[in-house]
Amino acid sequence: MRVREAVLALLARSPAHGYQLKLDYERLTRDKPVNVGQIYQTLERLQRDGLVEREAGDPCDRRISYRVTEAGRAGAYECLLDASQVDRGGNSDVAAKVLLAVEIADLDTLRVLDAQRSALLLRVQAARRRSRGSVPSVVERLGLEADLAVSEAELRWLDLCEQELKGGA
Amino acid sequence: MLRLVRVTKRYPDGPGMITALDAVDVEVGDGAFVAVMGPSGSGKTTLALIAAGVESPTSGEVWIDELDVAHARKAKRAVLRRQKVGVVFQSGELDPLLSAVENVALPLRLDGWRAARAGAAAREALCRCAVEGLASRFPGELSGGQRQRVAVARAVVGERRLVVADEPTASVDTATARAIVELLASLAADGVGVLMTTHDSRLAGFADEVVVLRDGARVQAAGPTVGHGRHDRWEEANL
Repeated sequence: MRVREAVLALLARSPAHGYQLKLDYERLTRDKPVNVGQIYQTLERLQRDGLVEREAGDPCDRRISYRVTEAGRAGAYECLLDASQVDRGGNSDVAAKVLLAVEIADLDTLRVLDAQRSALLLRVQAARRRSRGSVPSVVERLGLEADLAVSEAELRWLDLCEQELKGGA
Repeated sequence: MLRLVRVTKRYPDGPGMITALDAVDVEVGDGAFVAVMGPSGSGKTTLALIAAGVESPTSGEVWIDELDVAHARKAKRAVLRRQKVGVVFQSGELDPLLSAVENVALPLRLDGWRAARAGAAAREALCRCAVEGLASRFPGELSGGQRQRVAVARAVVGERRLVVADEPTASVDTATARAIVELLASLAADGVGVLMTTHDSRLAGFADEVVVLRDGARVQAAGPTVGHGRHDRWEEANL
């Protein structure tokens, strides 16, 4: 999901100010960092296109809150229903690094594999700790499950790689 | 508490020797869930057998609480193993002629517990493993997953605070495997030390610590990777 589409969909959920959108975007994309300046730039463009507007907020709160217009809401729904951009898998580069290592003769692929596996295991353990630590909301829980599903799929693939590489050795 | 110190195991192999384990250190504290993972032939089953006191290492120390089992006499080792360590093998290995509750009570009976007391402890262990309803069934009447749960109950019955599970999910389907591993994790959360071997990284991911073995030695993953930093940030952002 591009930043523009994500911001629009986040605002279709509820009005928010720029920094909140930055945090929500990073949570939504599971830690894909975004500059707050980019969020504001996106908001300006969405406003120019008539998809979002400024809210008349609390005069004591200096932060500017934004909300979607009717057209913006329709645009957000259209984006959420559009499945033409289905990704091939997780957005990590686990597979790319291992596949490259296989083709580099003097680098031990198993070392690359171990590093990736160790990082993925840490990620899985962290997700499980979070889900145990408190009673998460449905959205939080499903977000954790999404994270686990991708990490576990990659772990399974690494196991397969190890099996093949050891078998071929 | 279980502590393996520079544990090495060599077997004769034709004219030479084969090293199944090469100076491996592993520690399982009370309430810790440690997974040992690696492909077949990596030495993980040898490690499990040594941790469970079934086999002795060629060199190294195996501490269970305050005793080095590796250097204890065979008879003492057997008693210690029965009293302190519960073992779960790949396919449960229950006695087919005994009911579930009798299977679970068996190690206590061997230790001289009276039938009523052993039976009560066995029922409590079955309850911890969510199979109290199957107490009077025989192994032949249980599914693979149920048999493994009964085997886990037998491993934690009485005062046992340490479970060694060697590929406990090898003969069950994926969903059952996860449920068994979740059971082991919940026992660890209750203070039982668990050492589990597996060849499946996904199942290892349920443990607090993962030891990767390859060719009998612990794999040290490459230093801090980009991944680690990212994950920490993501974790902080969600605290």
